[in-house]
Amino acid sequence: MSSWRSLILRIGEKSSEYGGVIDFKDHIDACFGAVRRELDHSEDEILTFLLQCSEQLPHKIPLYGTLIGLLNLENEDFVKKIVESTQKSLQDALDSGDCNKVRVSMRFLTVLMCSKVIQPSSLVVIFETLLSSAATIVDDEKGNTSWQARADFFITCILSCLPWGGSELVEQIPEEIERVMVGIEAYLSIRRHVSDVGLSVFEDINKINKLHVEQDFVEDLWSRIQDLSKNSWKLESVPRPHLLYEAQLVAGKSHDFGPIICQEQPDTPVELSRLNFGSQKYEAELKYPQRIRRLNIFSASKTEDLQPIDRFVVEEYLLDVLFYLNGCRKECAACMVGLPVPFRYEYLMAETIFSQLLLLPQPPFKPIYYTLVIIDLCKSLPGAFPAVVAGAVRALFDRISELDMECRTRLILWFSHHLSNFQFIWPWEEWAYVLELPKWAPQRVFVQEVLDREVRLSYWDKVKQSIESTPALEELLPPKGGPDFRYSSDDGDKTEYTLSRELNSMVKGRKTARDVIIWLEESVTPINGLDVSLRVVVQTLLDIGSKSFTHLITVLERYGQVIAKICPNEETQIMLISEVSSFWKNSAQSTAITIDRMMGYRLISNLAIVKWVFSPSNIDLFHTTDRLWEILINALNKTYNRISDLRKEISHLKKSVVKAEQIAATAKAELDNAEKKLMLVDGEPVVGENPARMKRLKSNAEKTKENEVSTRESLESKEALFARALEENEALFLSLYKNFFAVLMERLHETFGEKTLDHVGGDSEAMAVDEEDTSAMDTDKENGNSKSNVGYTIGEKEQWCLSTLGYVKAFSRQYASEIWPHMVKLEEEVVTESVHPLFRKAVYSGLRLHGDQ
Amino acid sequence: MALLFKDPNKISAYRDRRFPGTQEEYENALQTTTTVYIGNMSFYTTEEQLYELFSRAGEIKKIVMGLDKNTKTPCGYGKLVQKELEEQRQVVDYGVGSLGSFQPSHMSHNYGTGRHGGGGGGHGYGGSHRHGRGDYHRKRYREDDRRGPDISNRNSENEPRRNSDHDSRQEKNPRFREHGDSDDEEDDRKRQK
Repeated sequence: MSSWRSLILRIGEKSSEYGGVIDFKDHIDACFGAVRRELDHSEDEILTFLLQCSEQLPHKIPLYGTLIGLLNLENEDFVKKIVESTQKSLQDALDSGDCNKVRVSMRFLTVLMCSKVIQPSSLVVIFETLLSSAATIVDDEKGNTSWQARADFFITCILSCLPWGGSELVEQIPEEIERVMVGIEAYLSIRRHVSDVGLSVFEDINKINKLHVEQDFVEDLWSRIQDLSKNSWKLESVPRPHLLYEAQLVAGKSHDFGPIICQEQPDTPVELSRLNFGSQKYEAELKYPQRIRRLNIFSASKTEDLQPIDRFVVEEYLLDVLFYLNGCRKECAACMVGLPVPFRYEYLMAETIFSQLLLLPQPPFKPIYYTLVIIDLCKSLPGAFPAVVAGAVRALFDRISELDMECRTRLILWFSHHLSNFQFIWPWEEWAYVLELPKWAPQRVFVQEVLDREVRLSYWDKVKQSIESTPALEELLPPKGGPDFRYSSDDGDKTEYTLSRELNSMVKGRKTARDVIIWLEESVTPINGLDVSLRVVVQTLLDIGSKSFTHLITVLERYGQVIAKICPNEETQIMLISEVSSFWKNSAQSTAITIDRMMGYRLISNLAIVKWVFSPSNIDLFHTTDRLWEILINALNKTYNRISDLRKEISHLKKSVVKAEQIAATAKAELDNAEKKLMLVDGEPVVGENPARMKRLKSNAEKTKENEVSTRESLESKEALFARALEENEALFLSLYKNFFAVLMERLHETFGEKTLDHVGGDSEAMAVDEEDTSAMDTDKENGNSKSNVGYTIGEKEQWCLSTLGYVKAFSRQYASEIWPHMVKLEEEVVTESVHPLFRKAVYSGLRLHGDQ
Repeated sequence: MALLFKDPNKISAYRDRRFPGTQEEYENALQTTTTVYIGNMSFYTTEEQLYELFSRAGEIKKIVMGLDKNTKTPCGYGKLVQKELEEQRQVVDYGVGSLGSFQPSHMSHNYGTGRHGGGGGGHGYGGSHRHGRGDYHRKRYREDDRRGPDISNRNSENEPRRNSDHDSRQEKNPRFREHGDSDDEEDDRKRQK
């Protein structure tokens, strides 16, 4: 890396390029010197690199802005190009809906304004363009209010610029900025308050009407900006290096900034039904997602004492680093800990990362990414961060019964993985009290599931050893044993034992699947019945495949046909799953993997899995273990993956078809041309002149045509597959909801009575304590030894309903895009007027459909 | 993806000399493979542990454990094949953290003679982690117990992405014991590709 590059890249960092000292003035001087020297030789490279850095390291934008301001004094043309490319990239980002780029480009422009590179009024023109687009969207008559997410995003972008240049704007063009602020205020009065109950990490079970008081993201930012303005636009978190060069920068020439255009929002659907509106709103919210939902898990005494706006700015920095430095672990951790702010922010950092890890419907990246960031930060800040993380775990644990089911699962996966990277050390004694809670208490289930995941990541004895301080917790460890093979000895049914031995030796003797099928059909099933055949085959094959994942795959690949033959329909497939579950009753992981693989080899249908999960003996486990949910989640996930694979292939094939058509057309045109020429020469087709070329063209035209046809054919066949997959998807979700409905209906009525939606304030009443059930537990609670022991006062039936409803919501939310197309049918057949209001609420809030719209 | 700090098209300098094709084919194979090489594993790492950890990064199609030529026991490396190229990239880019501990297994073979010369292996591994492309240049000791898996895609195997879950290829499996329960009956050579 040549030195101007590393100076630009490392500016503002405590790096060797700058002698390990942070002094913004020195850094800017040194960088400016180096860049100025190279500007004549490598103008283009510098331009590209500067723009790249200011996009991908947005926390350094003030430094880059000042640098560019200084360059503007030397080389106006160069800076003019920077302004032009920024204009173009902002326009592109607006067109493509690239939220991060829009936001960062606007921040960059704000800082360029501070460095006198563009006029303050140019910036206001951008603000007004966005503002007027936003105002149109939420206009009842002209706009399309279902796209409010976009309007909110535009307003957020404008407001987010103000910490970087509010003070300059107010000083230089007070009236114009005031006009913008008034416009935003007007916008805020028209827009709808956003209350995404379906996306909140904590279910508000005890606070009536809390949501109506709480500010949504835009309102919150607005009030932070109000505070900032009252504080004469002073804040600590944004460096203002341009002030160091004010005297010089004033002389710079301001460049024009071309106009930008906001896309029109999609038209309001002709028929504005509740569902139409809801599905458009859902689409808009997917395109313009809210970046963060604050967790507020730490008590005020613990968190850093920050101005509201500083908190917002630091969150922006952290989210940008997480986004742009994804995949560069070392740089990501270094930037996270080295933000250009004069105060400590460990608590804020932890809260921000956890808010991403738990962000609903899904975080920008896979949860495992945040896991690694947390691990890296614990290693970068060994003195400070681990304690903060532990604090976050405690805070989340205290509210575990309010935690959304999806978030709870993510937390379990994260926590077990995290601990596995730190020798499994955790003060388990703090949580020993969960043993006194009933087995369905969320705290207890959480501990049990974390321990189970730990065992999966290491081994039983190791985890046992890690809970040494609290040996009683062993009760929550999963069973230690391995597979439970029915025919491991001949104590049981002698016939089945003998058959199993026979099958075993057939497999060892490398008999083919065909041979085994013949053996079954001729000498087992007719005598012993299908049940016995099924049991013997499944148990024996599982036993042979029980040594490892690879053993399992091999046995399924080789003898899958045998299983397919004896389990051809849903009923037998359910028996197959039961057999798997009993064979692997000691290992949730092996059960899940085996079922997942069997579904992969299409030995089991997703519908059979759903049916099995909802079989009577399983239903009773819904609130005490995650085992069944894991299997259900895997099945839904696999179905979803299949359909997304098909989508990808189809879009790829569509492109190929277009390309093949073009190639074929070109080849045809070439051939036609050549033929025409020949005809013109002699008045009749003579192939004499260049027969080789003609032949080649002809065969080329044929070949390309053939290729076009075959590509089109494969597209058609994929589309047929896709249509079938869609139907299967519909069947799957209908079955899933029907099953949920069936198991919930009676229990909900029994437990909560006929609670109707009249109690809009929430489910406080429904969740209220059932006196009879809980009196026994109150005494238990007294024995709890944790300082933070939140009394657990929920009876078994309530908890069962709450857990199950939690999953209804989580599934609806996660697969909302797949469910929306089938909504009409779903409302006709399952979520009808007569369902229990709590069930409907769970479905609707997961789909982000509000009853009142 | 952060382009500032790395070039996604840059590939490891490591060259598998047994790769049959040209350099270009080799590079193409590396760019499109969905196989991830995992090194630095304990001899006691199980496939199930790998599955638990790596399935969090993406669907796993296959796991291959490197076995010691003589003892037929795991010798500290492995590969796994993922369903999606993007997932494979993520594993290589992020790593997945490390596996904490490995249980000394019941195997009585002299596991210490593997090519890693692990001196009997060990357990209770700590939580260090390494990055596939060496972003974390930690000092590495040969007998350092505190190291996690080393992950990279320097493997030359080109596993074409398959479209269907169902793959009926019949393949000789190294760890599948058809002949009996003894490890010695496995023919490790058949595993070698």
